[in-house]
Amino acid sequence: MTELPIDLLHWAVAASPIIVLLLLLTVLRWKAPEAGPVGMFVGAVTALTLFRAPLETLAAAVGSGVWDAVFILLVVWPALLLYRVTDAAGGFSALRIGIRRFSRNHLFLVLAFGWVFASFLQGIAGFGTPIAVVAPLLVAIGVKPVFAVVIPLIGHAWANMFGTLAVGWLATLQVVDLEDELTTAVQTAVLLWIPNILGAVAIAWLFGRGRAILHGLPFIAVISLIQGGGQLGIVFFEPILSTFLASTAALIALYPLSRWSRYRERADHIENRPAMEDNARDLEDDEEKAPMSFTWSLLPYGVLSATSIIALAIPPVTDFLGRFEFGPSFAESETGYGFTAEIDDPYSPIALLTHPGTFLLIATAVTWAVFRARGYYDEWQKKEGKEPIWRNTAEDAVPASIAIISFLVLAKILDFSGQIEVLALGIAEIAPPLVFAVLANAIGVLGAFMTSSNTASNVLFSQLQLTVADSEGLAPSAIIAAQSTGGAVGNAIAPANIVLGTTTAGIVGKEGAVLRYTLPWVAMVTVIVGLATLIFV
Amino acid sequence: MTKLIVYGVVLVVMLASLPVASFGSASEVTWAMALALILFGVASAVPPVLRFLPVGDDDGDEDGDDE
Repeated sequence: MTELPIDLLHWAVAASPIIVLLLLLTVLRWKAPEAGPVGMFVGAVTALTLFRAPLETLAAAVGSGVWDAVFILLVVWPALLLYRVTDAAGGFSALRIGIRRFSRNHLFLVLAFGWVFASFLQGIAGFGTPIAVVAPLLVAIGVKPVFAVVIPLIGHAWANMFGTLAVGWLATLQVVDLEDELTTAVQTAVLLWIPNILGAVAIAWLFGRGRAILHGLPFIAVISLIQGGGQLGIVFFEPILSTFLASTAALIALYPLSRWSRYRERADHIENRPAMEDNARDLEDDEEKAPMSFTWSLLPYGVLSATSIIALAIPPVTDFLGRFEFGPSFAESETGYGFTAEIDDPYSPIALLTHPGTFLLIATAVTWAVFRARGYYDEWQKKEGKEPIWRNTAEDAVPASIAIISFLVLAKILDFSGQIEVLALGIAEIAPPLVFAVLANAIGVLGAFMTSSNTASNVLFSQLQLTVADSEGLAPSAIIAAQSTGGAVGNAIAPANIVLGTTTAGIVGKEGAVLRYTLPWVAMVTVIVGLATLIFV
Repeated sequence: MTKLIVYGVVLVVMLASLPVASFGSASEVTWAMALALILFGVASAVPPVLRFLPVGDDDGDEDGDDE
């Protein structure tokens, strides 16, 4: 029998590891590999003392947290390798020159990469791939590194719930018994349209404030109609493919939009461009030479998209590749309050052949072999000098890996010791029904912040949300829709996601600077989604 | 380079604690669970402690934003 203490003291103590982590990152500006372990130690101490967790619980939390991190590290390392392999052959230089022919409008390019392409990648690959891949692309076109991380974090968030072939949605259906699945899916898609539009508006605002929003408005309206509206329409028939199809259609729509003079030519009237490097305009006029054509520079992304689609969008192929999976075992243990977290056996198995890290590795291997065969490495090295690919990759990936491991172990400690449960139950306890409806998506945000995963957030909180919805007489579909939307939006502040971006953008240690932009956006979207939830309750 | 090596060792130890924790937890072997906690705890303590020690930093500047 669980007797978790739901009072102010325990609620505040349960929140303390998260608060310490946020303070270290944003106020004291510690680097993520330094701040992560401190937050984790605070979580371990509160688990052992006030939450009466035995050492067995802590050991299982360490093991499962490291395993969850391995899942993400399998994206981080190949993504960094792909970046280095492309960069060492002059691929980003070629991309920059080629894009200039496509469009000379920086706002168009930032929205195209940071919103449309990032959402497309989330639609199919997910698990941090959009941030890891898009951040260096934005840096290549002259976006300041901190903004190059902020933009895809905000831009891809809406696509988390039904993205990666709706893994979050499918997991939710597994953990809760929904009376009306269609209504829940439709309401979720309606709420997800909010971060979709606000993500694009925020990106335009970051780029060039009000003038950029006005200039980008037709683009945002068209693409959001395709992405958010398309997802909503498709969800009626096939939720699993809704984000993938909608984001692919939006990617295709970029071509006709780029032919419109409004988005083909430079937008010089947007003078104040806080997100862009001072020399971004010079880059447009730079007569630099790249060793390869624009088409060849797109090879890594073409291979990545093609392998992801073949492996994940063709059911017989997915079923076959998904058979090869493995995971460790951990025993469940009871805390002094009788709280036991359920641990599946095997725990969270990884299907290596359908993992996005495998697609990234294939893209890396193909890119390296083709670029080498065509002599791009030799040509670029003569001009720029030799780039140590492996060493550069390790320098970025090792500290990022430590940060990601400590974040996810912290999440597991808080989960297994009942601290996350106390946080959520505490909100439910004091909030009247309508206030709870508004706050339901904030619980989803909390879950995603802790676990860097919409799926994990829903697995963690959906049952709790449903129980509270039933007891308070709220529509279960609306509360699960709010939880799911919060889980998607929270990805923009998840430390592990941020570290992915700061690592590939080459600014490890600037996680706090990124949070200072994504945190207010998430807070704003959470409030608006919370109020919108009231329409459905 | 020094910091990269230290961080590399920290990462290896963190990853090594996974099979030890899994073995101990699934088989209820107390010493393995204790070993996993010690390994992981000590490794995790290194990065915050390094912040206050004069060890070579090769991953960028400490402060200041790029925005």
